[in-house]
Amino acid sequence: MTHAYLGLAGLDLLELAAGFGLLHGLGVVRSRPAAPGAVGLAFLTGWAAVGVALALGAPLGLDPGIAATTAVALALAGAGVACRRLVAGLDEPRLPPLRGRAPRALWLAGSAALAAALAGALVVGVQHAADVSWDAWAFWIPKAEAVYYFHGLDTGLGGYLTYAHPEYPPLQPVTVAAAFHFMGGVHPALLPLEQCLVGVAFTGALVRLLRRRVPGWLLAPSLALLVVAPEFWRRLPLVLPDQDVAYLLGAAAVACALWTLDGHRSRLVLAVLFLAAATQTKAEGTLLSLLLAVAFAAASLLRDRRRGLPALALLLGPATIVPWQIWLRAHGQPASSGDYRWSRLLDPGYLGAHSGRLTYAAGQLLHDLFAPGTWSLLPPLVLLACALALRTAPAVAAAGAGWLLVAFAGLLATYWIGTPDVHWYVATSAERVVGTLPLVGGALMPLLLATVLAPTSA
Amino acid sequence: MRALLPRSRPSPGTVAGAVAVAALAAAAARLPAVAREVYDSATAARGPALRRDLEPAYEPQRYLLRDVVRTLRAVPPGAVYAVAVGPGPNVPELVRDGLVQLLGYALLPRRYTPDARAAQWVITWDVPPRTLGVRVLRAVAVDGHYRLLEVRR
Repeated sequence: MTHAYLGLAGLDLLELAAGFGLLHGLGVVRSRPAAPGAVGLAFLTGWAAVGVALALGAPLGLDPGIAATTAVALALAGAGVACRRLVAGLDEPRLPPLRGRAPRALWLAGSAALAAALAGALVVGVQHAADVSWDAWAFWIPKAEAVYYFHGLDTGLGGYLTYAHPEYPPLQPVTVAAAFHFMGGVHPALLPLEQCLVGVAFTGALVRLLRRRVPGWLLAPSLALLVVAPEFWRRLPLVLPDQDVAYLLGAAAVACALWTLDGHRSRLVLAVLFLAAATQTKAEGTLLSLLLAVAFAAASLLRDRRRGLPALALLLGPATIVPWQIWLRAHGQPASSGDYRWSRLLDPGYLGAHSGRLTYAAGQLLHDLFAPGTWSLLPPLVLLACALALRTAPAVAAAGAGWLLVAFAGLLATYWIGTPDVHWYVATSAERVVGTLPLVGGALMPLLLATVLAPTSA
Repeated sequence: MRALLPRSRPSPGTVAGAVAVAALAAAAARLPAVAREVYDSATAARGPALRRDLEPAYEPQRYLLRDVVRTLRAVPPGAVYAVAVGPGPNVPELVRDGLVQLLGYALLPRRYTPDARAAQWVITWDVPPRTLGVRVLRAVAVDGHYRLLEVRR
């Protein structure tokens, strides 16, 4: 098995190189001393960028083998370096050093808890066997195996389209297939470790993105709470892509908020990349990515009028779903889930007759969000941070809070208009999909609170 | 009464500090459970690599792992197989609802077909071979319920 671990490490190093190349081009990392602090952000960026490229290439016949994946990663790194003249370096002001015992104690204790939890996550990832979640073995990993064994989106017997939810976009299966190629075989037991690495990278990315905006005494405890929250922690090693969607949307939300605050182009590009990756990962990712892009674009346009027009570029992220939908239609597949039809939201008779589904699902979703054993104190603290920041950073807070509300309503609507038995439907999916909300809110919370300390015009 | 209430609102720093303290306290309250999970994970036996890769066939229904491993050895890669599960009341729920998907996970690159007559192998659970409508070349009884049937073509 050593060769499989080495192969996976090789893939991760390639994704890290792609991420550093892109961050260099975007002006985020322009010097060697800045690199160690950006490892998490670079890995998340490279992992997302390689994933998006492989997912967009799959309908065109791209086989995510070692040669193709290496070429994609090196091309992304090279493109980033080549673009370095187009974007000015990101010059972030330093925060004043921590003064006083209480802030230092909060920073130290929060950092220690965060570091211990992330180290523990890696131990769990190494020791974990293959994911036993039903959806993981019933269709996510078999889809990846099909891409691996049949060299792409094979449409014959046992091929990609023969598993449940063929309409789900292909980022996760093609990324896992690439990992199998680098491992030298199908080894699902190594995937939980990879998932934990992505989780650690996400946390590192938040630290890198926020450390010049959020004082350490606020950032470290907030991120520690996010990582050890029961649902975040439980889902860290799972191969189900719901947590990936949440990481990508969380990173996108922070990049959007930073762009609203400082207007640096790198923020916008990173946000588009993370939105595209979330879009390519799962149907819920497409919906929530579109809502996030609309929320921040609307906030920008309302505040800045014509100067806010570049925010419309955020819509490019969710728009990357179009090639996949064309490919599905070309192969006689529905482009959306058969579990619900959005047009039913326009049918008052249907909605009235199924109001029991709405009340039941609403109760369960709220329980999954606010029960202490799910996300700990995170959801109420996120709502408090949004309320406080509405005065100090109204555009960011309104976009963030607006997205949380509309995303919750969107998820709730799928249960209202869905056709499966609502008890089964909620029991098998609600906890997973609604968990994206507190995770994204938890990523934004430190930034929102920091604006309370230093009000901005945003 | 009004005189007992604070006259001014708490400063932004105080509110943010209170949130940071609450976050840290909540995180600290979770740490013992997290540490216990990490310890349990670190000290648990890892098991052989094949079983770790086939964990969905082992946890929680351990009897399926032997069936899957025997199938991997008997059915060659690339072969086309079908699955037939009997309607009996004693068929475990996982087998009834998930055997096709579980075998899809474990047996690729062997290709699944829903049509037994198009298959080179038929995997059965509590199904008499004569009811399948195929000519059986050889049958391998893995256990009392699970059989591998190679189909004469």
